[in-house]
Amino acid sequence: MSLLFDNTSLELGGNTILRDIRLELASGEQAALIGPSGAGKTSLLLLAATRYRPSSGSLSVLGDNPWHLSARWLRRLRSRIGMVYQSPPLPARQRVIHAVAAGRLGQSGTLAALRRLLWPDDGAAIQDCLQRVDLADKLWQRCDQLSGGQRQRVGIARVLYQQAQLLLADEPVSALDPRLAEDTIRLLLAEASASEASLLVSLHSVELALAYFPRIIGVRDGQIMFDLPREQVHPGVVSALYADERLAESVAQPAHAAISQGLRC
Amino acid sequence: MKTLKLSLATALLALSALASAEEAVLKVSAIPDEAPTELQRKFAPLGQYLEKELGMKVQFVPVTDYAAVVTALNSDKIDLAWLGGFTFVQASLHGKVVPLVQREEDSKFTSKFIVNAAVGAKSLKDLKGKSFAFGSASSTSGHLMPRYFLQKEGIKPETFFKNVAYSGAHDATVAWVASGKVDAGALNASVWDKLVESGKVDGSKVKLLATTPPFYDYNWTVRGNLEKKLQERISAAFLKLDPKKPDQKAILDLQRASRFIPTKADNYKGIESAAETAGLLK
Amino acid sequence: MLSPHPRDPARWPRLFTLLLGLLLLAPSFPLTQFNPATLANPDSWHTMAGFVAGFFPPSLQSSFLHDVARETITTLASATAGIALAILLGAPLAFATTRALERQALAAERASASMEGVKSLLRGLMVILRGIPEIVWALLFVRAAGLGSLPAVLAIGLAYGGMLGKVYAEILESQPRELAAALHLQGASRWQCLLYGLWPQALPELLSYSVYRWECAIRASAVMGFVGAGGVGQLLDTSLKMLNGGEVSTLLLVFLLLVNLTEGLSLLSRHALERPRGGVYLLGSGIVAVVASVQWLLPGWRDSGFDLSAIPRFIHDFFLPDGSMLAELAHGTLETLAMSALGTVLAFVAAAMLAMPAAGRFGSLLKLASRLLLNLLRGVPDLLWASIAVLAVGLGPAAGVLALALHTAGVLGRLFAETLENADPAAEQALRLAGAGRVQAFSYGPLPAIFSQWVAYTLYRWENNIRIATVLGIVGAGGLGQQLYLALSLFQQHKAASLIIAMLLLSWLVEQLSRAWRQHMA
Repeated sequence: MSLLFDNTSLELGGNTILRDIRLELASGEQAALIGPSGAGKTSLLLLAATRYRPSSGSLSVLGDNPWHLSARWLRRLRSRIGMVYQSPPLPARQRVIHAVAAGRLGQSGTLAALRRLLWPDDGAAIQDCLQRVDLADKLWQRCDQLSGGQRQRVGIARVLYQQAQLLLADEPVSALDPRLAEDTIRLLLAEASASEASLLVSLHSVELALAYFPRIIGVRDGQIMFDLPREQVHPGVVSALYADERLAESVAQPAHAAISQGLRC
Repeated sequence: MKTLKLSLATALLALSALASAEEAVLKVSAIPDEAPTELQRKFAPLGQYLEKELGMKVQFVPVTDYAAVVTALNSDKIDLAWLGGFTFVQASLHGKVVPLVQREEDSKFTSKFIVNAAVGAKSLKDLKGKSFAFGSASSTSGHLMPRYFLQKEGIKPETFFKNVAYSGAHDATVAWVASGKVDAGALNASVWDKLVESGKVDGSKVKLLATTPPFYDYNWTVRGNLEKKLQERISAAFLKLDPKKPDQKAILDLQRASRFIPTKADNYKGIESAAETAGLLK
Repeated sequence: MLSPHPRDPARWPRLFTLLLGLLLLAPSFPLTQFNPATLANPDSWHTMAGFVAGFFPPSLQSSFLHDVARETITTLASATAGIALAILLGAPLAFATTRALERQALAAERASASMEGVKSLLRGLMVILRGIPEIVWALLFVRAAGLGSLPAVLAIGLAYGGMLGKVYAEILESQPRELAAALHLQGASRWQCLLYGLWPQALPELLSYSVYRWECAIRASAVMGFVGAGGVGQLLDTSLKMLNGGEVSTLLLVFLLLVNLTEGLSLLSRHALERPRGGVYLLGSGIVAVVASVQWLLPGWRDSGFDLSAIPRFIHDFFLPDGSMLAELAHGTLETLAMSALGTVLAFVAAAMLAMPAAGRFGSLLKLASRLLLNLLRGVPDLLWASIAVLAVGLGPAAGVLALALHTAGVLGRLFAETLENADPAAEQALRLAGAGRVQAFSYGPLPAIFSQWVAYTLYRWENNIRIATVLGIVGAGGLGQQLYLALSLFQQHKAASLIIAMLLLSWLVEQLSRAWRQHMA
């Protein structure tokens, strides 16, 4: 079992963000999270990434309850969880090789990590990961010299290099153009299958979710509205999920993305 | 309340300064070869004596810089100054000045070389590679003459010592050597004797290493264009100081003088040539 | 199968830069006689502890406190009067030389050759005014015309006048040009273009820069006493020479109070600028302050016997500069450069170490403590650190290195902490979630972005430190300053002239190099 939410709730700053979430994700399973913005998709992913601690209920990630582990073991667990962010958290001026190498920090010692900053030693493997996202020629480039799409793919290469067993992706393609978005989703799916990792992706585009994921989970107002195989997701279910909010969201989303792009990298 | 008193006092001072603006004032200064507070303390009774003898107001202008005293005397900003041999030579090269009197001791003045006890030096030659402090760069007994005599011994300070420093004043040199800031130093014999007598030198920390041959040092000098009459009266007042009278003895003691004797510019030819030899008069 | 990957194309340039840096830094150690081993030596820690212990308790003698109060007011007044003079000097210079009001910039007209010549001359004058550090100006005035606070006021007026002239001109140039251009095309004169086109938009920036300069002037005025130009520095000079630790620590406390007070006032006035009519109030209180300052200083000036007529003779003595001392000059310049380089590098290390706790990475207690330490390091001017360092490690350039390192660590530490606080936490958080340790997450997350910023700040500061290193010698900490102080003490004016020219050249060269580098980076 990769992921098990059992009656899990999350409160942040007095607001209930997620309520009584029950969710299972088997090893190697691939699922998409959809729902209006503010529904709690990101929070759900961050719970799984052990960013937040559930306020009630229990949570098991890759077979362990992360919040019962010692710091050392929590670190080990985390090194097995890969997360792709909506806008990849890559420092401007960092070079791609280091950005990707950062994926395995959880598995290496501090001194080795510092040494690798000066003298990267796993270049071939990093190059290989970049090859898979079509960025083999960017190994020595600086992140701020890449386009938004390229940065997103560097973020994916980092997760590939990490060799995570649970892959989480928070709207990984909302800042990409449609063709690139499809390629990226296909890549994520293929890599997850190849490494037998489980994959949970939140998506803003229902079409993409339905086209590529066997399992669709609908989230709204901090609760799971439905959790169905793709074949059973009817248009009626989707419009109920997005009722009243669809318009506002589609306007707001790209603007937000643009701003966060400007601030990072 | 205190501030009120203070501001009242300031106002009064300002008023009295205005009132006395027309009165004749003798402006006196001294090279700051010791701490300014010490200079003021030394001068106070002498100032009162001079006021009485000359029948005019005497004002002490404290100055923290040797060269500034020379400049002030040359530009007529002060009338009378206590100068060292070297500063007198500098002043006489930059304008007209007249030396009046000097202490009897000044005709056979010496400098002392001192060393931090921990260094364990027995002679000047043992100081090779140590750090060394002169007093002020403009000082005769704290810089010029020690340097001159070192050169005569074949020692060029800049290459012989690890580091050459200028402490600024004679008592500062002693403090520096005592604290180990520098290994050794040179100062005026009179200040050294005073510090030893008053127990301000820790004999376990500072040792006397050598004494220079005697030379002419300090004198009281007036600007050249001061009224001849007044010059004579000032000279007379100094020469009249009598060690047998207790109140005048106190003044002489503060000046560390047995008595004052007349002096002349020629007495300082030796200093001038020493300064030339030492390369300090370029 | 893993594919072969290309080698880092930048590896040789990087290695070369690193080696070049080390190669340039290496001779700094022998040149400055700075020995890091002495810092680790328990003996020197013992001496240091005794030295610091001598600072307690601060002297609270009433007569001393009375002197301190009087001299503190004199310091404030000298700075205020000095800034007023600098504005009177800098504003016309800026008006005359700014490119914002040039006809060729406002409309497609040809410039007149004679006007351009005059402007070049004025710009050259400004380079000289600001190229000679204010403390050297003060020293020159003291030697030429007498002691007291007047030399301090004149020194600040001249040095900052040159600086204000340049910056005012640049502020005017940075304003949108359309308004002045439209006025110019309507036939408005240079003055009218300034008053109607530029003035309204530029005023807040002009005022706020002036206030900032006033803040700097107070620090400068506080150390003028080291060369006999009045203020608290004079008391400090005496206390330091006599190794009176209690008095020194009282004065240091006063210093810190003064610096914090001015920082507060400066902040207040910047807030005032954002209010309606704030500029008017600021201008008004500025004028009141200047009048009060002159009022306070005037009696002293009358008594001090400051002799303006001596200045021409003094200048005359300076010709011709002594050309026979090139070796000495070269040595002094090298020593100065070595001091600044080593001091800056040490400061970088110390600042990086202090910035972590100061940005709150190790809890709020350590944050508070490190902030206090940074404030102390920054609040005490470099010249003052130098005079203390001279006591601690002996005279010579090693003291200069230590002084620069201490003060610069405070300046950089604060900036570094700010960049740390402003850094986007997302990158680091993401790495932590992927299992990275604290140090790892830091060095792969915020460090790449922060590091380049830190290096940029440090290089910028180094430029400043070269200028400061030229004057540290005035209190005995090596470099060109020490030679200048000696030359002036011994009335060797020709030698002094050569030294001042060397200082000017160094300062000008550094300014040009830094400008070229910045343009290259942009």
